[in-house]
Amino acid sequence: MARAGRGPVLVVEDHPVNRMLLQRVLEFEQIDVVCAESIADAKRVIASSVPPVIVLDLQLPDGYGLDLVRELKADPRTAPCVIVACTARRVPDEERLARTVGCAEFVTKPIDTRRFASLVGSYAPAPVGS
Amino acid sequence: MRKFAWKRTVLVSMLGVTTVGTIVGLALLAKSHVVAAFALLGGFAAVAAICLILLVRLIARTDHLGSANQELARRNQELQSATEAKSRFVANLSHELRNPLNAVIGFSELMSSGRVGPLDDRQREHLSIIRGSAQHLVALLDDALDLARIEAGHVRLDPTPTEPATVAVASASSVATVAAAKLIRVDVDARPAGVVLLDPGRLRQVILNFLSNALKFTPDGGQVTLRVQRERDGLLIEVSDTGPGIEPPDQDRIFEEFFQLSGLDRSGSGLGLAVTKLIAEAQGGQVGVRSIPGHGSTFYAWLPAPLANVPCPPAPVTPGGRSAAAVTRSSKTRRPLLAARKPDKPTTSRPRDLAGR
Repeated sequence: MARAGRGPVLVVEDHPVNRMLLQRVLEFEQIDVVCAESIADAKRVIASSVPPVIVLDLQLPDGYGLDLVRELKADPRTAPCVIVACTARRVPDEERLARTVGCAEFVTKPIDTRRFASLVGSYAPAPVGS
Repeated sequence: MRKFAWKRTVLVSMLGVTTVGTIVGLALLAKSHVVAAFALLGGFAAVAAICLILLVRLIARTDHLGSANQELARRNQELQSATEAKSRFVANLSHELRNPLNAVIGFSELMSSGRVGPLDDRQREHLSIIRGSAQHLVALLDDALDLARIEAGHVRLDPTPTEPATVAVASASSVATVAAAKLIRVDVDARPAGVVLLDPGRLRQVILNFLSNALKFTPDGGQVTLRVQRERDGLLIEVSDTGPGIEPPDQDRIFEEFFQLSGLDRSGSGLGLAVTKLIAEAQGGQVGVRSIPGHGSTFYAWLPAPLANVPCPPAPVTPGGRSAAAVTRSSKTRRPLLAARKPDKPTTSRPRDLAGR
């Protein structure tokens, strides 16, 4: 894997067009992106390599995003991951809940692409050796 | 029919009492105690009979009322579940529409940034229309969702110790970009109101709805003033503008759902003021408008806000929550407690620094 940029950031999003949008937005910031479409998919990616940052949609076809957050925060190997929750739902108190279980940030769709890029970028580490 | 029967009963009773009284009086005058006693006895018997009749009628009526009450409760239940179904539907619709809208807004932003390729002015203008229209749809969804939730009784108020002046300045800052684009000056006159107990998110929503309404109708170069002060045991929020004003018949309807002034900008959802009214009323407050056509309008809301017995507000107000700040993040630094208070001189709002961490 020849990666020149920062990150990588794991984007977990089931909506294909939105996945593509998040990927493009981050790649313009020279952030490397790995994508997953479901919780199971995300777990496979994390099992092989733990990303420093995860952008996580909360409504996924195989479960609720915050359940995955709880699991990741309970495992010492994945607990340091910075998790940015990203949701299209407007549910009262969901942000509080997300932060309580360990999300560092909570973003609602539609995203402001510039702010989103700088927000995620602020957590993405510079490439090793630079 | 029923009413007449009651009247008749009363009339007969009065007649009876008078007759018995007269007989007793005459009998006493004639020193005939036996006749007087019989007359009194007869009178008592008559009164007892009337009471019995009234009692029977009362019981029958109570029974009738009871079954009417049951029917009413059943219909109420039906209405409540229908309202909740509507609220759920709107919530699902809002979620489903937000995903494609996210893509529309996001990709237009990416293209406008010029990173995908060079654009000429025409293309940039068209992209900005696409993005603006999509954002308008999002605002409409937000308002519809709010309205449905409040109607279904799902408005959750979270009264916390809040510094109203801080919320006022933060709210004004978040409309600074829109105001600057129209060269409108936004003044904030937030008098020290102490730390009060109310829901800061809802306060922010009321202020923002009034501000965006004012900005929409104020012509370029105009002025919008936000005033927040304590009044009675609550908080009075006033937003004045130098817009065209509202004719008296329209003033009565301005808080109705989907009511829009004819001949003016129709870019809003037509729901913002209706939502504001419901939010204020849900917490026991009220809203209103004063306006002289041709001389601007002042929208006001009064919200109950008892003084909080705490030395300082706990958490800073989280920015965002509405479309004005699509990407929300909590600020890790606290604002200085009274930085927002400028009682003597109005403060012109400045855009909040969101870049700094």
